[in-house]
Amino acid sequence: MLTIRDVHKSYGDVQALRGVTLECARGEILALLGPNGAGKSTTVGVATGLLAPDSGSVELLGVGSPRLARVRRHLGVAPQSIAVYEDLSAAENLRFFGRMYRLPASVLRDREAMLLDRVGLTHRAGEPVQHYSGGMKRRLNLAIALIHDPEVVLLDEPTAGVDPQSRNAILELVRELGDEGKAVVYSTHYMEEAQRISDRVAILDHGRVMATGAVDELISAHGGDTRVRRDSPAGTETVQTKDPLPTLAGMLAEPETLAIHVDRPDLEAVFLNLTGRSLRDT
Amino acid sequence: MSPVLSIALKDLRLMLRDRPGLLFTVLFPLLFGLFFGAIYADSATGERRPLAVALTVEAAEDPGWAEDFARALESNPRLDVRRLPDSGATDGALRSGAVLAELRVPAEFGEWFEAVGMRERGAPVLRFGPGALAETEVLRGLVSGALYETLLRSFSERDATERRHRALLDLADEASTPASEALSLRGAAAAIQSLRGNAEGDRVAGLAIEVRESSLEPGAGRPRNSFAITFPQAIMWAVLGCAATFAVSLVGERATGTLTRLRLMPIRSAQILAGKGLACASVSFCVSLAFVGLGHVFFGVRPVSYPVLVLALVVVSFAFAGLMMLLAVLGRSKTSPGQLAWGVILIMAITGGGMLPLFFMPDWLVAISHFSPVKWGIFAIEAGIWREATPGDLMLSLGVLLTIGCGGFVAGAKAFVLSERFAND
Repeated sequence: MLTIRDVHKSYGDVQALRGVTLECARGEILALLGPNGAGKSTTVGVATGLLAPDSGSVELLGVGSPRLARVRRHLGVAPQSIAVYEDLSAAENLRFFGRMYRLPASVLRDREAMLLDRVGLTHRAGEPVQHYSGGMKRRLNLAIALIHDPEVVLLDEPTAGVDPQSRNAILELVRELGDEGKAVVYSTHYMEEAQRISDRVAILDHGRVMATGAVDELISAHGGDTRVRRDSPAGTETVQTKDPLPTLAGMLAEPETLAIHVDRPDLEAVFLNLTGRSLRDT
Repeated sequence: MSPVLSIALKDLRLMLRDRPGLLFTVLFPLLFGLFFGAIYADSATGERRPLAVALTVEAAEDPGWAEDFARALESNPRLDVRRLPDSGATDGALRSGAVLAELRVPAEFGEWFEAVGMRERGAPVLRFGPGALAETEVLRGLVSGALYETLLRSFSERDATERRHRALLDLADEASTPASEALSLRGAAAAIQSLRGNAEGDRVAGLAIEVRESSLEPGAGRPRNSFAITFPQAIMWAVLGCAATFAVSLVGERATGTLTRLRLMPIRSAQILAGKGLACASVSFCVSLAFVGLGHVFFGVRPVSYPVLVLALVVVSFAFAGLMMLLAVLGRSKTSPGQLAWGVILIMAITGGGMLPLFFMPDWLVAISHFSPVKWGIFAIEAGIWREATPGDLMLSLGVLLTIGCGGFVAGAKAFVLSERFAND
């Protein structure tokens, strides 16, 4: 549904994207991970059509570039900044942005009610947004992206700065979007979010896609060994292995075993292995 | 509903909820119109506060002429004559501004008056206070007028004329009088002698010197009252306030990201700008009409031509909406266009008659005002309210405004597209 092919993009002498190729299929949630300056925002910008690539192509639904108005109609974007009118209510914001897509009044009414309900804002729908909490604004920011029932959804750090309840609500909604058959590209800094909701993860660094795949695949390929540690009266024994099961079985069979600890690599380990541990914004 | 109309309605709603914004678009212009209308009220209607003058009449053997002169002064409604015992008492009043000038009538005034000013001593002395800068000439004229009036009346009194005749001859006969001056005095005495024969009642035939006055009727190319002068300015300020508010709102949209969000939707940049322009022009027009209604009902501002006024308001609203679009997209940072908009608008207002009415301006400022759209806007509005503009003048001002509006919209749209591309790339 969304295809980014060999996209290059430079800002003066800085090469932000160096041949990025990504694909997000119907019903798939693709998480975009990367350190600061890796090229995530530029990738999202190119995918939304706000930025024109220097070379390469972006295609939506196989019909054309998102720079075309008729193609943008199928795209829903929740920008990183909370782009809502603070003096309008949630309902008014949804209605206004819905009218930009020329939705019929009855459809717009239904979508508005349904989305307010899904993001938990029905009871505060008539209040000016400036009175909302950060989490409520984030949820509204996401709801606006969905007002026209788009087939492709781009979410740029949709949970930045929200409380755990709002984060949970947003992640559940994103998961539901995938289940509904939408293609969702989800840019985030949070590994646990990517691990929790994404079908596939793309790790970007230095304007390149370092790795893509399902979380388990990435962990197997780039996560390193599992550490199995056994505590006994004689001391602690640690084994690093790709296949921990035989080791675990052997340790359990040992007499006088006090405790066994298994440290499996996670997405963060994959991320750090691929992008390194040095700070990027110093 | 079309996206352009939706954007316009959304902006209208936001504007109505922006109370500080309403201060600039409604309250400030209204206060401006009322405040300066009240200040100019006297000069526009001809009604003026009497000028306060302290009068000191020194004691004399025969105070007759001095009292006549004093009565002539006191009977003038333009003067507020306050008799004070002596010059010393007036100093304090002069310094405090309670009176603008002191008029001292010396004890020798009677002799001086009878000699038609030919004596050295006895002339009235006018002393101005520090607060009488603007009124000195007016006061001088009013005092001279009273003196002339007293003199004219004195010619109708046979005894006085006889005394004056004799006084002039005595003066001519004095040894110290030069021969040429004596000749003049004898000539004057002969003229007075002949006037004595022409006296009829309290008038003297042949001396009926007066200035005949006339003025144009209000409405015929003249403002009916001071509010007719200040309401076009107030309307202009309201339009400028709307333009600045919308320019700042566009900048605000850029800063909060809603503009980017709009650009992600299936609408063109020109539609976004058109929506904002439509809202700006609509608000400007509605506020202007409200001001016209307010002026009509409460302040006697009766437009000479409603069609011309409505046409002017439409064109002015359009022109400044176009200008707003250009101003809103200029500047390098996200906030500088808003500051730039206010700066440019204030300069245009100052040079274009937004502060000082065009007809009060010095010539050099009038020459500069031609470059300010505010001047053409005020001129067009005045054409509907009181000014008798020729069709050519009106067409010129409307043409300039339309050109500014169209130019602003086209240039603003191009600059907007370029600036957004620059901002995103």
